[in-house]
Parts: sequence; C-alpha cells; structure tokens
Amino acid sequence: MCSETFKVLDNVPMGIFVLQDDLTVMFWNRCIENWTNIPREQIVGTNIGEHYSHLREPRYLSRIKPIFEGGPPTIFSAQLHKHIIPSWGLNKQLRIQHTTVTAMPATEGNGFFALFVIADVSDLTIRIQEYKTLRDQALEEIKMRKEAEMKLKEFNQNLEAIVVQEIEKRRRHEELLIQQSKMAAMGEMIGAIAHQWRTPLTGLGLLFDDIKDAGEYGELDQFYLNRVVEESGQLIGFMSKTIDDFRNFYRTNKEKVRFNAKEAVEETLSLFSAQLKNNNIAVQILCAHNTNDIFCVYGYPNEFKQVILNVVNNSRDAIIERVEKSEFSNGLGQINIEISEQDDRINVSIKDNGGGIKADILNRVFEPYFTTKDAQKGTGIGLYMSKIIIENNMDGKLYAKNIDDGCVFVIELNRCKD
Amino acid sequence: MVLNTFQVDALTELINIGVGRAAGVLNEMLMAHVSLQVPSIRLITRSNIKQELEGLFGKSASIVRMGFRGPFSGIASLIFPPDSAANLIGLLIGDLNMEADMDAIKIGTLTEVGNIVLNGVMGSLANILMKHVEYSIPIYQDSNVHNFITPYDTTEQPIILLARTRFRIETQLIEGDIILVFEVGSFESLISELNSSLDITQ
Ligand SMILES: Nc1ncnc2c1ncn2[C@@H]1O[C@H](COP(=O)(O)OP(=O)(O)O)[C@@H](O)[C@H]1O
Ligand SMILES: [Mg+2]
Repeated sequence: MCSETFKVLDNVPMGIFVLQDDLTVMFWNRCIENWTNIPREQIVGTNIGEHYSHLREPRYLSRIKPIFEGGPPTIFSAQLHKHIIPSWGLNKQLRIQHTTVTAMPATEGNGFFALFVIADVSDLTIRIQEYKTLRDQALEEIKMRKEAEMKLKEFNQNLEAIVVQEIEKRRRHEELLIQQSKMAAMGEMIGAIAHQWRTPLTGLGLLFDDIKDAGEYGELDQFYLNRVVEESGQLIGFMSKTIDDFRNFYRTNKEKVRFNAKEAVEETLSLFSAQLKNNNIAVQILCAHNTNDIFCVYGYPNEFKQVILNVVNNSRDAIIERVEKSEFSNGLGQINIEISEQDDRINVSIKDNGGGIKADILNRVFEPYFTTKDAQKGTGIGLYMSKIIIENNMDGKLYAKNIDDGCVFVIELNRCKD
Repeated sequence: MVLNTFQVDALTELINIGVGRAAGVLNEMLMAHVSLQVPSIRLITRSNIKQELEGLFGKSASIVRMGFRGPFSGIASLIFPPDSAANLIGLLIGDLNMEADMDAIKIGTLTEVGNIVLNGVMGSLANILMKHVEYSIPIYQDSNVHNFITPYDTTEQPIILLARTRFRIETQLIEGDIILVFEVGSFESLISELNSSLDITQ
C-alpha cells in the first residue's frame, strides 16, 4: 500500500501522514510512529477516524475536505488545536503540535491526497516561555533602572534648584552688604569731612571776627581786604578739595590697575589724619625704603584704601574704647603702619595698642555682621568686605593676630615686577 | 482598468460565497455564531494602496499572506486591524489556558483564522473558475503598512483588489474589520476567466 514516493518523508523529523479522500491512511512516517507507538503496518489502509475519532467531527472534516479537491492549505495551529494526534513527549507531557495540511496530486487517477505535516512545537513553546520570562526580567530591570535614573534626575533638579536659590540668596545678601557698607562709608565720610573742615572753618570764623574788628577800628583798607580774600580763598579751596578727595576715595574702581601701595596708604592717612589727631591718636608710617617704586601692586586702589581705612578705623575705635574705660597705662593711642617687601610680596601691617581682640572671637572678626560695638558705631561689615577685597579681588591675604597691648592686621599682596 | 457593474457584482458574489464558507468554519470552531458582512470591493492601483490601508487602520497591523499560482497568480492577504485582532484573540483564548505566551497565541490564532478566511475566498474563486490553483503555505507577519505591499516590477499599473468585511460574533458582542487584499499579477486574466465562466458579456 505504501508508495515508494513517500519513503523520503521518513527522514523528516516531523510527524507526517497522508490521507486519501475517504480518510484512509496512505502513509505514516517513522517520526509519527515513534510519537504514537502505532506501527506503519498497522495503520496504513485503515480509516484514521478509527484511531482518532475527532478527525471525523465537522470542525476538522470541513477543513480537510477541500484539500482533496486541490484546495488551499489548511492550518491547525498549536494554539487552537494543541494535540491533533495526541502523543506524549519525553517529559511525560502531550506534545504541542502545529499542523499544516496541503494537497498533493494523487499517485494514480485524479484527485488529491491530504499531506499532514505536524511540527512538535512543545520545545518552541517552552523556549518562548523561557524567553518571555527572561524578557520580562530584563524589562523589569530596565524599568527599575529607569525609575532610579528618574529619581536621581529629580534629585539633581531639586539640588540644582536649591543651589540656584542659595546662590540667589547669597547674591542678595552680598548686595545688601555692599549697600550697607556704602552707607557706613558715607557716614564715615561725613564724619571725616567734619573733622577735616574743623580747622579751616575755625580759620574762616577767626577771619570774619577779624574783619568785624578791623571795621570797628577803621583798619579795613584795600590791602587788608586783599589779604582776607586771599586767606579765606585758601581755606575754602582746601575745604572743597577735601570733598573732591573723599569723592575720589569712595569711588570704586572698575578695572584693575597698577598702583603704589605705599602712596595709597599715605593718601588715606592724609585724608583722615585730622580725625585721628583730634582723638589724640598718633599715626606713623614705617618704611625702610626711600624709593616708593618697589611697592607697586596690581588691583583696585580705591578699594585698597578703603581696606586701610577700615582697619585703621577699627584700631581707632579700640583705642577710643580703651581710653573711655581709662585702661591706658602709658597715655597715648598709637597706630603704626609698617610697609615692607619680601621677594615678590608686599606686607602692610597695621599695629595698634588698643588692647587686642579677645581670643575667643579672634576667628570671628571677619564674619559678616560680627561686631562687638553698639548699633550706631558698628555694623560688622568692615572686616568682611576688606577680606573679600584683598583675598577675592586682589589675590592677597588679610589676617589678624594679637600682640603685646594690641593687635596687628596684616595685608599681603603680590608685588608687580616691572 | 475599470470594472463594469456586472464584474463588480460577480467578484463581490464570489468573495461573499468564500467569506460565508469561512464564517461556517469559524462557527464550528468557535461554537459561536459568527456572521461576516457582505464585503465591499474596490480596485485600486498599487500607488494608492499605502494611503488606502493607512486610512483604514493606521500604520501597523497583523497580516496573514498566502501566495497562489495558476491561471491567475498573486498574493492574497488578510489584514487584521489591531483592535479586531485583539477582539478575536480574546474570544478564542477564552477557553484556553492562559499559560502560553501572548505573542505565540496571537501568531498561532491569527494565522489559523486568516487561513480559514483566505481559504474560503480562494476556494470559492478557484471553484467557480474550475481551474486548479497552487498555493503556498500561509505565513503570518506583524507589519508596518509601509512594508506591506511587495514590489512588482513587471506590471506598469498593477491592480489590487481590496475587499473589506466586518465580522461579528453575536453572543459575545465582538466585532471587527478584516480586509482582504489581492495583489494579482495578471488581473486581466482573472477578469477574463471570470467573464468566460460566468458568461458575462461586456
Ligand atoms: N584693632 C582692633 N582691636 C580690637 N578689636 C578689633 C579690632 N579690629 C576689629 N576688632 C573687632 O572685630 C569686630 C569686627 O570689626 P568690623 O568687621 O570692622 O565691624 P565693626 O567695626 O563694624 O564692628 C569689631 O567689632 C571688633 O570687636
Ligand atoms: Mg569696622
């Protein structure tokens, strides 16, 4: 019964059988023999329905029938018909089968046979399942990683926001400080001008008294008038120059320039010497060199002068306080400014005998708003601003230490090499 | 090429018979009453097919394709728009265990349903023409509509037959579209076969 033409199908690792239009089995290959344990000799020539009765049901039959007329292939998928020829696999489970039925011309006469080709997709199904588990794990991992990334990103964004806020706070704070230090400087300037003007104002007052007297005694001649006009002119000129000097002093520099540190110290002192003298404070500039040229530095001269003024004013305040508490043993307040150069550095150290800074606050005097003075006298900004000017803007150093009877503030700057 | 009303009617009739047969098979398999609407058919040119298909169901779809050769040759495809595919699968795996992988279920199920519908229609065409046609094994593909149409270089103005029908499974309130696409290499021969077998004179 079994035609030689089918024999080649014995070597195919799929379950294959061939039906005639009356459902008689024409061929049964080795593979399906193994699956079913039904030997070829036993099944060929019999009706497949005797072995697998479900194949007679309309849901199968109606789709097999057209094959015998040469109709298009029919597929029984593993999903909808798992076990078309039920058989147990090695792992004691029914094989999951995907079946394709195609028409093949009958060996003799006309009509068609139906060629059933059954693939065991159990392995495939299991592999798909395994793959799916792997894929799900991978997806889960990716999801977790994404979430972590998102969290990190969020965190970073928050952090950024916090940093931006903090910077903005700082900026406002600094602006406020600058504003306040300007106000303080203004007060300082008015105080200084008042002191600078006291002498010429007294001079002018005396001159006017003199004019009055001269008028009364009939001495008011042309010669006298000329002298008075000239003298008062000098005094008034001095006063207006004072204003200009202070204006210049408080004008901030926009760009770094070369300037002479020693001269800057001298100019500062000349502006404020009257004030110091009125407070009975002796100021001295000590310098071993006669030539000023070696004290050339690079930076902002007016800001540097303000630093000198801040430090000197602090010394003045300390001395005055000491006087008020009558703690002075040897009477006189003293500020010594020593300017020296060493290699490529310039040192300006400002010493006073104001009693020094208490050890427990020595490391706090450069903090903004740190002050030991009452509200009218101190803002706590002076040293903070000074440190910023010297260290941030001019690449130098500013520090304080206590000495006998007082303290010293040291400014270190880089020297310009011509 | 323009079809006259008789030809359109004849083609519609043939496809309808095939679709009816497919519905019968599905009924048996699903144990539910599946009705398939009388399809509406159109001939369009290859250059229009992309727009046409995109208009019908967006960019991606599940497609089952089967090639055929004989007095007329070409490829018959059944396209399931995503929603319809999901509905059908939902119905079919209702009484299956859910253990298996969704993708495997989808491919297996749609291949078989596509096979049933395409066989119905192809069988009906071949039957009426009394000519033997050879078929390739149907294949499944999840595809972008752009990749769908295979380029034919032989014909200058190839024609595509597009038939659209709705299926409805009464008891389950499930319905959806399926679209049959015939890329026929020699469309004229199909029409002339049709003419002679139905004895329609133009
Ligand atoms: N030469 C000094 N002698 C003693 N204490 C000083 C001296 N210089 C600064 N200090 C202390 O440092 C504090 C901060 O100084 P500063 O920042 O200039 O603010 P302010 O002068 O407004 O108080 C002063 O209040 C004072 O206690
Ligand atoms: Mg101060």
